[in-house]
Amino acid sequence: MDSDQENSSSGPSGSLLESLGAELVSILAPVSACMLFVVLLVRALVVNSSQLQAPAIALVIYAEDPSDSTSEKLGGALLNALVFVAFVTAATFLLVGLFYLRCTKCLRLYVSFSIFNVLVYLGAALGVLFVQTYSLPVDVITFSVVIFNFGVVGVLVAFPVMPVPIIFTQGYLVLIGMLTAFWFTFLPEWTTWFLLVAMALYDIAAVLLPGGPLNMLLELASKREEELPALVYESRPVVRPGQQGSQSRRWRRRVVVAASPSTSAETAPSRTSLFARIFGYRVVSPYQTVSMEAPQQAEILQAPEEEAVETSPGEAGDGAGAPGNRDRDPAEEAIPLMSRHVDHRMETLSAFMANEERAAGAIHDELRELNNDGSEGGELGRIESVTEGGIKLGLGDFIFYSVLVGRAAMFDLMTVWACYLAIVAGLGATLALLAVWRRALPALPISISLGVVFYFLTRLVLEPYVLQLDTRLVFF
Amino acid sequence: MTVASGVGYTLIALGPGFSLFFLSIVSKPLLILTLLASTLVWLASLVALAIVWRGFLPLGSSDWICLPLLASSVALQEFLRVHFWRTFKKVESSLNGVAVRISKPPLRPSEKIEIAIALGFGHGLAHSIMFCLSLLTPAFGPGTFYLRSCPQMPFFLVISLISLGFLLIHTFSMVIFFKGYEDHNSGLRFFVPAMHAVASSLTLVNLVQNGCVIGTPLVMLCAALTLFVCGKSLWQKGD
Repeated sequence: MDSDQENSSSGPSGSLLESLGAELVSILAPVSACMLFVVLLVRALVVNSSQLQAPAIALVIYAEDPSDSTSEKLGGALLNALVFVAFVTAATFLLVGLFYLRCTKCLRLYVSFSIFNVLVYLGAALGVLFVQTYSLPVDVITFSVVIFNFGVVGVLVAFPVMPVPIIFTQGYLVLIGMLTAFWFTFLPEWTTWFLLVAMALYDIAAVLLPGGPLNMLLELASKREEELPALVYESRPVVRPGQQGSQSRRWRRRVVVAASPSTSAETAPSRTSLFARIFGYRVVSPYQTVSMEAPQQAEILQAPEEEAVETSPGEAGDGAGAPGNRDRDPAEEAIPLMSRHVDHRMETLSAFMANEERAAGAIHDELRELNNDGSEGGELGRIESVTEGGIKLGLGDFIFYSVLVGRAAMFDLMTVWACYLAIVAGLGATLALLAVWRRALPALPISISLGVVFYFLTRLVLEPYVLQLDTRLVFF
Repeated sequence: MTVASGVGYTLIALGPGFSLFFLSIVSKPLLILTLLASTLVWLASLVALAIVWRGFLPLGSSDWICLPLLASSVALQEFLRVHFWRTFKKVESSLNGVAVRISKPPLRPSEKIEIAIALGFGHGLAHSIMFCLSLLTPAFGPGTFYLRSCPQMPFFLVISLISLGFLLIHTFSMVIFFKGYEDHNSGLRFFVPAMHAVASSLTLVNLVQNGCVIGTPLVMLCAALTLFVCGKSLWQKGD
């Protein structure tokens, strides 16, 4: 049949449909998975929601009571949201302070502690809920051993202290997001909506305003060329199995012409030559400096850009001696690369390249912190586009998207689908803006605003419309 | 009645859709994005319609309002379909430009058909979720539900079947429509809105007592006809 022939002939050279948009889909997949889990959990476990405890920190001011009047509820919800945002701001400033004072160990300890807390405390609470709802026969000792193991592995993996397969890190990050989001959906309804909107506004302020904590954190990190201790989901570049040799995908580098070749060329060779000695490749560093007149701005939706010049190992050693040629015309080289079995090297490559990027002052990172009950923490964040790695999305975005969709799930599947589409559309729009503006962008505002709008539209307008037609069995 | 029947109804409505998705669409990221975009557009059009008609709801006993409701909905969707085609042409040229840049072949005819399938499937998927799946949630619990006007089949079965029919109609209408424009075959181009209108009108038969026994098979017949026309138009390409 037609398509079979096409598939066989499209083998080595690939097809447009398969290569475009891979990055976007690779970040959409975990976001969708997180949302899906939360929706399933909410539908499966919310039998009697009055017994469930929402995170107390969000209810410090006002705990909603069904018998209160509407204005009281709205006012209380608004206060709750504002207090929550205040907590988050304070925590983020604290984080900025710690980072400034270079208490890296302190930060890493804190992040690990918060991961452990989320996984063990929230995970155990969820487990207990499962056991209660479905009357599963589980004893305390097994349960606690399992949960403890779960937590410890999570700490080791989600914020990797040792090299682990990327799938574990990604999986655990999604799980952490899911657990936090699940418990956050049990906030009272109005509080949830106000909280989401408030966090979206805070996100804009924190990232885009010069005095915002995340902005400051970003600048500190890029100035110091350090990696932020944060929970950030990173999707890896897509390497397709079975593509070998020079016929395989060509990776284009997004190259910015060196504005100051002297300074950057000095730093570049040492890293690249070290790298080259390890891997036998000689890598052209991605850019020397970021300059806005970048010649080849690949679209964000293109295949991830990474370029390695394959040379004989002998040449690798004298990488330090010849920075000039390498740096000056990498632009047009599209070098074949990467087969599946070098996946592990790919990861290290990407991590290394990520550090390289930071050296060039190219990456902006944002960080936001979430304190639940004062003891757990998730790292919220935003979107960053890495030219050679995958797209990075902070865990906080996962959490708030999932909270929105989980809250929609408490009403109906229609609202879930509408909010999911709205969030995905917002994410796509944000990524497109990222490609245009090339600076760190908050991932929450567009998605959350679209999501909220769609939720209320669907609930108030669409649902009666569809139901009226449906119950009369009239379709179109 | 129970999870088994809930899953069963879901599979009736979405089984072919799932197959289509997992065989053709899931391995191609661009198609997944196309799918999501087209679902979003369909949803937006539905919301627009709902805003317009909100004042007339709930319908109560005046069933005749369904007719203008249907007519306006079908008209809007067909109108949007033309815009889909125009957007596709514009996007196609930029996609081909990108293809040259990343050393991939430009869009082949089969790939254009795949894009059309993804677009149509987006419509069908949105339709299924809105009209069928969201109502199937009670089917996962104990008991079932019969409409007074349709005591022969459980309500869930009827909506699953009709929604299956419409999924197929939406998906393959888009292919026929695009083919009609590509080959400048106005017969195919007019077939699509006509079929959509006919299928929707046939569901009006369900308003009558015991109408669903006639209405549902007729909708399936429309779906089969659409599939046949689609296959025939593709076959003529000379493969």
